[in-house]
Amino acid sequence: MSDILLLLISTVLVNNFVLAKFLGLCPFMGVSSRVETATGMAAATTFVLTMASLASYLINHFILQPLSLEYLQILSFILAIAVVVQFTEMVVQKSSPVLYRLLGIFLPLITTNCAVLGVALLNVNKNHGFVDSIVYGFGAALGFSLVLILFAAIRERIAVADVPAPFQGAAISLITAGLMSLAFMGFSGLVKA
Amino acid sequence: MNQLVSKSIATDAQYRIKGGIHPQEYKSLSNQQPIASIQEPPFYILPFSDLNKGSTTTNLEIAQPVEQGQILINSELANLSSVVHSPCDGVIADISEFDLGHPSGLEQPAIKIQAMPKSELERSAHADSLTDQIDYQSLTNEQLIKSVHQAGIVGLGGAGFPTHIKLSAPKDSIHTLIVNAMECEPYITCDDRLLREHPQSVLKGALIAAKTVSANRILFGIEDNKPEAIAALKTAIENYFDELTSTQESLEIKIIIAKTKYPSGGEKQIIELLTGQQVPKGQLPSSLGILVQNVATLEALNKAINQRQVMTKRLVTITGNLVGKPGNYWIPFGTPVSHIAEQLEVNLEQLACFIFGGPLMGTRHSNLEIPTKKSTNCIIFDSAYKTLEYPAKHQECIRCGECELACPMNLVPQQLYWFAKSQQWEALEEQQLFSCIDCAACSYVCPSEIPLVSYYQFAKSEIKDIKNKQIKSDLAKARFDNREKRLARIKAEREEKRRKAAEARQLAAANKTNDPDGKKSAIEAALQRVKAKKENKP
Amino acid sequence: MEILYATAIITLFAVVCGGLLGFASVKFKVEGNPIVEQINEILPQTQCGQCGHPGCKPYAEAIANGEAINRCPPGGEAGIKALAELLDLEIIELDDSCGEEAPARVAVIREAECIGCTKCIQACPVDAIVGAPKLMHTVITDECTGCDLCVPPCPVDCIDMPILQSALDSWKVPSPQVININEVTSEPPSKIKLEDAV
Repeated sequence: MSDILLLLISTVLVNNFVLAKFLGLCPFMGVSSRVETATGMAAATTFVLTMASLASYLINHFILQPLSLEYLQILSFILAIAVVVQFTEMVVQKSSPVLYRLLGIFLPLITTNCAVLGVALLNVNKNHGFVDSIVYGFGAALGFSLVLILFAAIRERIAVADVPAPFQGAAISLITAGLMSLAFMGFSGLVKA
Repeated sequence: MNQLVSKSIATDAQYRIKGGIHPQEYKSLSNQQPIASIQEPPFYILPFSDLNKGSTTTNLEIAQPVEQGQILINSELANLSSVVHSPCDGVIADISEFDLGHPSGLEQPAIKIQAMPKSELERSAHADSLTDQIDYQSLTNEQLIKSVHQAGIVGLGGAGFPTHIKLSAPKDSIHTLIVNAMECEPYITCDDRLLREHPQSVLKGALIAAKTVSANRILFGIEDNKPEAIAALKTAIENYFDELTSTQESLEIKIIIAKTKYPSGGEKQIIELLTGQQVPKGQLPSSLGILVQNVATLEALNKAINQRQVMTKRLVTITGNLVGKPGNYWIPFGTPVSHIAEQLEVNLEQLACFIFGGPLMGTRHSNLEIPTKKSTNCIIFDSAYKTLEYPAKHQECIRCGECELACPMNLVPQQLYWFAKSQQWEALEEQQLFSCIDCAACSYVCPSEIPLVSYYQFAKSEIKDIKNKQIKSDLAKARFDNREKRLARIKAEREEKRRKAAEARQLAAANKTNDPDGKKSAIEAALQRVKAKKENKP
Repeated sequence: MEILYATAIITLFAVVCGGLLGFASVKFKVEGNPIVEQINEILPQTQCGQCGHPGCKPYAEAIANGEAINRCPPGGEAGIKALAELLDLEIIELDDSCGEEAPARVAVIREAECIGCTKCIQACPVDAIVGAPKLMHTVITDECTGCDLCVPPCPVDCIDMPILQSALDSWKVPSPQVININEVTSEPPSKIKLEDAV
């Protein structure tokens, strides 16, 4: 139990996928202009990450490893991720057309989100078991969601503030992300990796 | 009903309100002198509608003579605008549009009366005071309310809401009458002086109001910076209890003294101070069984019922460092400010703008020709107020949070400001923008001198407009959809008819092909007849 | 041989996934285009046709298919802003060729001249005109959207289009950011002088 807890804290705070590993920056920048959109994206990514993590573990453990087809990992993982994302897209379009519209192109782009493929491959690298894989995927998603929503809240406030002209737009957002990353460095050493 | 003799009539308030500010009071400028009157102006300008609501009418024409107390402008019982009476004898000079100081700068319809003295003999029955007293106890509620409406009485605390509507609460729904004597805004002292000099009149008005709504408790709320007024009121109440006979019903009457703080005089604030209850969002004090009235309103109510005087004037505080003779004066409604300035020796050279009301919630004007209204409780001529509006360029919000500490309604003015600035209307409603009472305590404390209340008024105006437009468009959509359905239905019915007609034609055509001349069927019919005849014969 | 295995596995996997997705796409099929409804809610429903479409719903459908959001004069700036927020598009200026943003009007029939032909009743998209053949027609002011569609069909030209609200009733508190001491709207005819802004 404590192992799982440590794993969660490690992935959410210490080795945060966005701010420490710098994966998944594309949706991080693209979707975080409003908190509602960010929350929707966070929910979608959480679902995709957990499912993809699970699916890729199963594929790897039951098909690829027994048949010594490890070189097909990237191919099959992307296939699995694409299926999960397509499925998520359909669910979102049905349940909330507004969110579907707001997320726009970033919803199918979760497929190419390096964080998702990263989680799948890191699971293999670290030889995670069944439970650990799921927890790792879920923790990564949780960390991504936390940072995404925080960043969206900050960006909403920056949007109405008096930002100097050279800094307006993407510039101030990236600076803010950098500062957040510095802040999260404070967690390093909390959990022995 | 037992006779309740309150041993301790005056007590300190046991509740507090959150937030609030303590600005400099400037009361001594105008509360040292007794109430006085000024010479009548040469003309008066009376608006058709105090609150720009409800439709009012007049039967009068230009050049028609009018008498003091005569009804000029009629308003229905249910209207939010009040009946307006002539403050003088004179003649109607003009019925058209005048600049009345509306913030838009647009002119509004009003009646201008040229004052002309009339000899005593020509006064007729509807003059503004009669000699015979009437015992208000003998009047029914309907009669009382009708008299209050006919006397043109509105709330004199600043809002100007028709008093008769407030008094028309359903029977037994009100148990407490709160008399608002707080007068928390700086500079204003008219209620203070009124209580010092005419406390019995105020008390009588309170008794009439309490009787009308069947309240069993009267609470006078007053700030502790008015010790003379408190003493005068206390004496008046004690005398009232002394004069009560054992057969008369008596009420619980108390004076509750609150520590001086702005804005204790707000309706929601005084209720919380005196009873500890908060008026629920979007509801009126009547939902708590409470009715709040200003002291001046009750004094006018007393004059209307007990002396049959219609309301044509009120006490106005004329104050500020540029006034030669500051103090409280009986000013008839419709008096142009220029006349007051001249009579009370206002130094116009140094005047940049004057304020109707107090420095926090009042409105600033530059046109001296505008008239006083029923809601004008104070006019400030002071060199400290140099601009018509707050400075357009203010410094940025530094998110210090002082405004949140000052807000008496538990709102977050800082967030309201940011959302109003960026026009995020939904977020503003979530922040309860419409609970804001526009008291300007937040603007007062802001270190960047941001005119916060101006932003909120802008936002409220925009949101109301958007909501109205949405209601209209929803209605139009519903009617359009219904019309489409109706047309589709008519079309379907026509189709049905045509189909049936086509079928009938086809059937007839089919019959015709079998039997082109109808001969076959004729022969058939003949054969049937023969057969029948044969069967009938034995 | 191994390559064959690998290819077979991947192909099988792909087919299974395709099947799953196909099944899901049928189960989660979305009827119509719900975004059109949401766009229609924002449009002011005057059904005036100034956008070039025969009504607000057709224009909503056109917007859902990519048409510009700045073609509705009765919706005005506020409408364009709301549409831009809903669809995550940029706020653009109202298209001048479609008309100008003007204060709301209502139709008023000069009853003495009405001949009872019902042409205006048939033209009104919200059924705001009351009347019958050979009987007088009148407009229900509260229901009229000011779309102007009744004016052309009237053979005796007896319909006026006055502005609905006076300037005073439709006045809104201006944003504090535009108030300038030099822009006070009414010219004060008083004798006092104003100091310059502090």
